[in-house]
Amino acid sequence: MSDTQHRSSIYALGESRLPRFILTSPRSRAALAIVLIVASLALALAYLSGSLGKDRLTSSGVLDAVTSDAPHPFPAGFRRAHGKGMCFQGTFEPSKQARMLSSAALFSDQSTPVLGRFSLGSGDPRVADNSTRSLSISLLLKEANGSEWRMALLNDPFFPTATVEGLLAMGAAFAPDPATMEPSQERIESFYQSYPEARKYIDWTSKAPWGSSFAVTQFNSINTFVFINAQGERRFVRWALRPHTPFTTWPESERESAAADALFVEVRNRIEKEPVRWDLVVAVAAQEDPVNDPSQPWPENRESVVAGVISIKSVSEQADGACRDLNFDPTIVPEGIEISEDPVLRARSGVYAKSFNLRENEIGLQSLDAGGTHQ
Amino acid sequence: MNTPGKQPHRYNALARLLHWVMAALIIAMMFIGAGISSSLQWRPVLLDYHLAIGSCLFALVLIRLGNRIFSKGPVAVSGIPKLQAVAVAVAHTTLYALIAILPIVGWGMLSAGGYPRPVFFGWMLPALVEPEPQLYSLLHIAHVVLAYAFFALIMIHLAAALGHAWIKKDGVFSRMGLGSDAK
Repeated sequence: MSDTQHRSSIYALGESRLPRFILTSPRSRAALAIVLIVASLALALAYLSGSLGKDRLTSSGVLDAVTSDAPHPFPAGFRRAHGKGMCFQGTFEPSKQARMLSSAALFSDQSTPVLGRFSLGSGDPRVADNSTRSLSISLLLKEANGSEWRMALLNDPFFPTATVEGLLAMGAAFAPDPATMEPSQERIESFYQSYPEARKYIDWTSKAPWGSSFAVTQFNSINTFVFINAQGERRFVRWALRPHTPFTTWPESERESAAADALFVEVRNRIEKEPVRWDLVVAVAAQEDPVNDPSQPWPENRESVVAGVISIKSVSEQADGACRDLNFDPTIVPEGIEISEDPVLRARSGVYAKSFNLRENEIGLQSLDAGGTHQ
Repeated sequence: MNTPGKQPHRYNALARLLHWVMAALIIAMMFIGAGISSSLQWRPVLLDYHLAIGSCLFALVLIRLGNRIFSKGPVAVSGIPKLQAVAVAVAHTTLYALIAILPIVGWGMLSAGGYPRPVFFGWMLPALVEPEPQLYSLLHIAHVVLAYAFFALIMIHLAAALGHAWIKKDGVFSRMGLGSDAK
């Protein structure tokens, strides 16, 4: 840019918008332009990092909202959600059919080591096992080539809402009103109007049976992923771990008198006797199935493939087990698998990372409470 | 090319090209990094880009440092107070150091956090350290603090460069400028 061009552009900017007294010389106009450039870059960075513009939802904001009823202060070293858990190790053996859906190496390898974790869905890591129906399982399958497939599955068959915003709205709607200490029916109704899909979830949770063991429970991916096979064919899929042990309920009469760690003791004893197994069942979406809405389960009759068997062979306490310092971020997938655009799946990545960073910081840098135990 | 014995008054073409390519990548990395820490929808995608660009930047900075060490730098800018010259030298060395250190800290952080090893053009990099919560936390904090310090220093560098180009018009900017040899 020549000097005259340069000068005239600065004049044009200055005379129309800015007070005259700071623009008396080309030098001061140039200085102002430099300040504006630097300031806008810095503001853009601050906005992107989430420290400016509190109107939009960030990973930290979601973590704060979903842990609003967690104990204060939060016990150091635990996961912010699904905090009570136990580590395990096992193997994954694929079926021959799996290769037709995905070229992931673990579907061709004979056996892949599995690290994982059983957990309760509660936000308080110190609750008794009979306090929640919500159970979860996390897995890390490590391929021989170093690639990893991490998953975090729930015993719920679908997500309460289509979006994270919906989940937070649900938390707010069902929170007890400070005046009455009861949830406000009015607020719940207005929530259902905004997020009608949540009614299905609330109905389901009120009727769903409690499982008597982790080993008899089916766990679901909830979110949609993409499997890509060697021919490059892409299919939207969801998967479930279907237990080899038949489902049995945990009747209320037994639950009431159950010990605080009943489920964890039960599954430990079971696995010490013999491996506990699940089929990895992969369901393929039909053309009309919603792929980016985790609140909409697909019909039962969708094409599905038993992609292999997960065998859990040993357990260890999470206080010193291999699963403690792992972030089971379900967006970590090997080649042959991709994540979908499901907004809840995408959001899990950032929220899990925030929880992981807090926990590792407490374990690594702060003195732990209760003598360093995590269970 | 430069005649032997005579010092050029600009950085060589490779240095200038690398400077501007890396400048664009580094600014992108800053914004991507900030997005990773906050974005609900784009974190997994941004993380992929961050690791890919970070690996490239580390490779590029090695080439750049090699070129800086083994080629003749330009003549010193004349008429600058000694103290200012020292401050500039410190600032430039710190910029080089941060470009080289940030990818290593990020890579070490992934290893210490038990995350999958990053992939660089199809080649899976080795783990730098064993997973360890204390080391992970220290490296994570270091990555964030150094990145913001880097950004602040880049903003000072940018303001100074534009000051030379637009206010002082003393030819300092063209030492690293992409345009033809004007001086």
